[in-house]
Amino acid sequence: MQPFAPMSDPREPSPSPSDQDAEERPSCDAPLEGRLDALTRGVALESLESLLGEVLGQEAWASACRRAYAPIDRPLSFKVLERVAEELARDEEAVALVGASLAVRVRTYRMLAASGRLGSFLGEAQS
Amino acid sequence: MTVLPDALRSLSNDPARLADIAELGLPSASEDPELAELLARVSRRHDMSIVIVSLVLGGAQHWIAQHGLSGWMAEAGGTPVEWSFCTQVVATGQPVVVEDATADSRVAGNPLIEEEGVRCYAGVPLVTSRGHVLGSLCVIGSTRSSISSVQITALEEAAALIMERLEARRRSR
Repeated sequence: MQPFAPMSDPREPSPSPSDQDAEERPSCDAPLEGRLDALTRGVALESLESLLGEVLGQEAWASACRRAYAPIDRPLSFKVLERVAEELARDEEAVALVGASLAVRVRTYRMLAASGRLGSFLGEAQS
Repeated sequence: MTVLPDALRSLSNDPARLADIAELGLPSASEDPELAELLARVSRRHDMSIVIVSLVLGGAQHWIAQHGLSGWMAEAGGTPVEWSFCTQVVATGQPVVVEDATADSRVAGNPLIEEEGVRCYAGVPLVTSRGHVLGSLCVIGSTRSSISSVQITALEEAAALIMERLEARRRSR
């Protein structure tokens, strides 16, 4: 086995939904369980709230969403959520940690989805 | 079903530990070429292809520097915390050695073993001046390997150098 081989051919187009149809397509707001814990907008927001308190956490989320041109209170596609995470990561200190953490998770989920392997993780959850 | 045990999740989300990391900031290897050179030396010394400086955050391990990784893990800049061997280092505050990941119950079922070929791992804690374990300096190989106490000591020395750099960064901020 070739260790750490790419999960997908980077030349292949990403199946990520476009920004415009983020709220209509299946998104990361649907919990994915099993070998990975859920990745949702709510989980990200909860991380901010636990670190900063409810009000400041929600403000940080709203601010990052505005900078990322993302809706504040609707499910987000991986692509849009990654943009929000990157905006959080550019913020200061504690907010940046949440952003960095979220960005890693979103990239992993997006790449698993792009390579068609996300299903195997979901499948194991049900076994 | 939650993959990460609650105790580990609580630890990785510990507000005091995260605040300590936040105060140190999140440097990138591109800002610190000497760190990149240090990891290359660690790789040569231990004959391990991959060396990572991993910070365990609430939801993911975030690599502030790595040597030898390519593909999706390099692009992602880390992995979800559920897949992190380094979480064990944060939990125990001690070096963690996995000589054969396919036969070690601590990492059983971790997809990095089956799908990415991780076979052996040795990680030592990165400890701040305030006593928090941020993550680990770790080496990873794709074949089963023995890790000697001499190697662990050498890794701990390298980890101390890394922490000196991070603490200097805190003082200068």
